[in-house]
Amino acid sequence: MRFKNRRWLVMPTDKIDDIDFNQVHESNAESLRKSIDGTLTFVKYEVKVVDETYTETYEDIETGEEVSYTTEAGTYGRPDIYSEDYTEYNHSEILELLGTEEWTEQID
Amino acid sequence: MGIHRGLNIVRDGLLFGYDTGYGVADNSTATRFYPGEPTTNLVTTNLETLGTDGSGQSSVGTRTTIAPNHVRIVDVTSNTRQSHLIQGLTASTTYTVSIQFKKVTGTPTFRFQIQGYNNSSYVSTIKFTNTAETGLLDIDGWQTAKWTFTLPSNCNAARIWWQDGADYTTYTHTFELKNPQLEAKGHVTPYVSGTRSSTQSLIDLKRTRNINISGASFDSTGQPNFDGTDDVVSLGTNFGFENNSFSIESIIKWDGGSEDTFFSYKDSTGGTQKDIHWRIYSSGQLRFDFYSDSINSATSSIIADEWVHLVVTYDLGSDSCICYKNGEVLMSGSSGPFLGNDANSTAYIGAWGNIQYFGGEIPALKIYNSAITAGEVKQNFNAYKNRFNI
Repeated sequence: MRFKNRRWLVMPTDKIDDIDFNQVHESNAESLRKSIDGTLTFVKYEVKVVDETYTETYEDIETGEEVSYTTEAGTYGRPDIYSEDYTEYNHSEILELLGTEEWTEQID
Repeated sequence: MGIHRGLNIVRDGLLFGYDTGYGVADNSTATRFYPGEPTTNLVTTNLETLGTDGSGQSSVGTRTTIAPNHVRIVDVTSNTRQSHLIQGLTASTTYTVSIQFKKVTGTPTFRFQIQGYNNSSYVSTIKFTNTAETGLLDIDGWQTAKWTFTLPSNCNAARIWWQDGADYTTYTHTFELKNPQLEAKGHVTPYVSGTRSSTQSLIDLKRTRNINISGASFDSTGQPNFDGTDDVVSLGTNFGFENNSFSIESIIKWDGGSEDTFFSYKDSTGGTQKDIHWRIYSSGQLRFDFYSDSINSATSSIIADEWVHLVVTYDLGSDSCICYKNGEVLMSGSSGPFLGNDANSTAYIGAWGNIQYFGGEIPALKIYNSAITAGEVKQNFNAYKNRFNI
């Protein structure tokens, strides 16, 4: 499956100024695709999904002590603009959305 | 007659071209025409200037400088590590650290010790890899050791230790290191000193145009890809199609989307035959359109997930447009010519302007200022077919 770790976040275009373009694939505001009526846009980024919480143990070279670090299950790597107020899509879901008349003008 | 190195492709009339695999290109290897994905190397201090220690061992090995940012480590019952505190990083961001490694004698061992810092204050260990985790093997020649990590939310710097062993012990072996790199990406890209910009990433085979790939994204192998949502590369204007002969050649692998344009040339003023686009319908039908004056293939001519070599030629004298698939004529007709104004017309790879985004891969594309012959199409196809197993 291509783009397994890529996600798309659809948001209102009035939030474009809040996007940190260092955190998403798009390079600037001009490169953003917008819906036909211009009210929506999206950004895409790569995430790391941790399915199960895990713990790693190291010897801390500063202190010589054994230190454990726990990584909680969850999705990592989302940009600061991410909010649960906006819908996040995977590849097949975003292609389906972009194929609708809301996003794609039908041209022969 | 000059000697051509590399692909045996037709060069007469070549106006523009790119090839992301010219020579050998992968995450670790740059080529003359594809130096690699745009990136910024956050390592700004050369290896030979870093301090060394024995990682807790009393005996420290010998480091000699072979060239700037290229050192040889000789350990004889000793341990040698070097470290670099890299500041100005962003919390909760994914980074990939890499370095090129070459075994000289003995079993190669190497690891990254990665620690999170807040400015110059140690915060926590992020990861101590072992040799296998870096991807290094017991082989001759240069390899790239690499590791991807996420900087903790309470850190804005990282200390990277380039260490010769996977534990705190001594070793007897010799190896070389060069070109350390840290980049804000989820995968490694070929080494660059400083920044490789969006116009320094993919080089025109004719070296006459800047290719700005800021509108493309990249897969985990460092190759540009088109996910069908918003990836497009603008090539600029003035390709000389206006009332003229031309040829366009491309290698593509299509994902099977609904209506995908992989090349277009649009006159911004619009109008009949001022809007070339080359696209695939969900049925697998291929269309080359001067909009709206097109030649069309049968359905299932293009199969999803299969590499295909495509060439379209337009000859003004005979007003004939021919499209070849894998060296053979696929479709033809009297469509054309392009009636747009070249100065107003922009070429795009991966979309029809800002619609019909292509899903798939387009590793090579070339434009000629003439209608190349069937024999020349075959010559170019033969130059690519083995590489893409067509």
